[in-house]
Amino acid sequence: MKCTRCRAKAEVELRSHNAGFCRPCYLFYFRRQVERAIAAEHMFTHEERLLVAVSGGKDSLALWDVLAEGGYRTTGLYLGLGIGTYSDRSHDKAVKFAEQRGLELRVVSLREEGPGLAVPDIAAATRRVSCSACGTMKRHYFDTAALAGDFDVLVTGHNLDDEAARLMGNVLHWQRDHLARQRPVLLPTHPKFVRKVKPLYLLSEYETAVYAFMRGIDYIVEECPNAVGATQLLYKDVLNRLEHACPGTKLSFVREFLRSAQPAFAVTANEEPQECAGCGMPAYGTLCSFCRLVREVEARRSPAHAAAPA
Amino acid sequence: MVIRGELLLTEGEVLEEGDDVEIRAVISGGAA
Repeated sequence: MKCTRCRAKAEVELRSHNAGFCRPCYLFYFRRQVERAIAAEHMFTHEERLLVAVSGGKDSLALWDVLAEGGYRTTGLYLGLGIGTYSDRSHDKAVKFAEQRGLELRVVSLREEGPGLAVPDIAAATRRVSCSACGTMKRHYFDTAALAGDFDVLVTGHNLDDEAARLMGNVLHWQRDHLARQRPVLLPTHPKFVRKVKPLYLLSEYETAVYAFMRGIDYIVEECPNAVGATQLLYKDVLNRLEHACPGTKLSFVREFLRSAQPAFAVTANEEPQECAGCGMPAYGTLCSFCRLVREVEARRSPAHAAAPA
Repeated sequence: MVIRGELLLTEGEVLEEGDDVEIRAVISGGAA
């Protein structure tokens, strides 16, 4: 197979784009796709301060690499979720990446912040799946770090597969409020929120993995041990089967949703958040989801709860 | 993603006997 741009031998084939690329042309293609998404969705400018959420995985590190190379003002944020040696290794990858490039990385450890609850602590106390608690904790600490650091934008490495799987889940359950907020750019609905953007939303996991490999990025390859059996992975598997039979399915699913259907859901979402009575961050109720979760854990750990009959 | 040495392999690539390849998963994520 030959490179679509220069006719040299292709190293990577993208069936969804009916294209192949050699290494230099692929790196050009990938960076251009990111820049196009940033420009088309008015995500941010070179003057704004970006807080990039990094996990040590391929997506967030590939994104940080593209943004730093592109001259954007970036600071990384790594959240220590407390998931055993997996968290230790992902922390090391993020730290090493930042050190090698002279980039600023902020590290927040859940066990050393606020209530001192890491993801496994919450999952054990509430008997809920870890991914649900993990999402709530991440959103809270991303928001508070962006606010405390006076950043303009919070940037995450969600890719096309993440967005397609999330869309499938939202559609299967007709989560109208979730569909209303599923966009590559979320404008702040409260002064304590910052703009949230996803520059990789039209690039697949395969594409980010290829970019990370070609750039020599040392990322954590293994899957989070808590993700085994997660619903999102089932949706990704289904979507990958569709994609294999019909290349371009994931791209059109997400792109056409955003173009045709999402605006209809967005007009129904006009509820503005108040301030949480617990932490002061924006909340759709008396307490934000983070404080509700923390209080649930504290209640379940209390002696009165432990003594109550099952 | 199929890796042979420092290079990626496309689907049509033919492997030789004795080739040392790494097959690297690219799927990640949970339910959040």
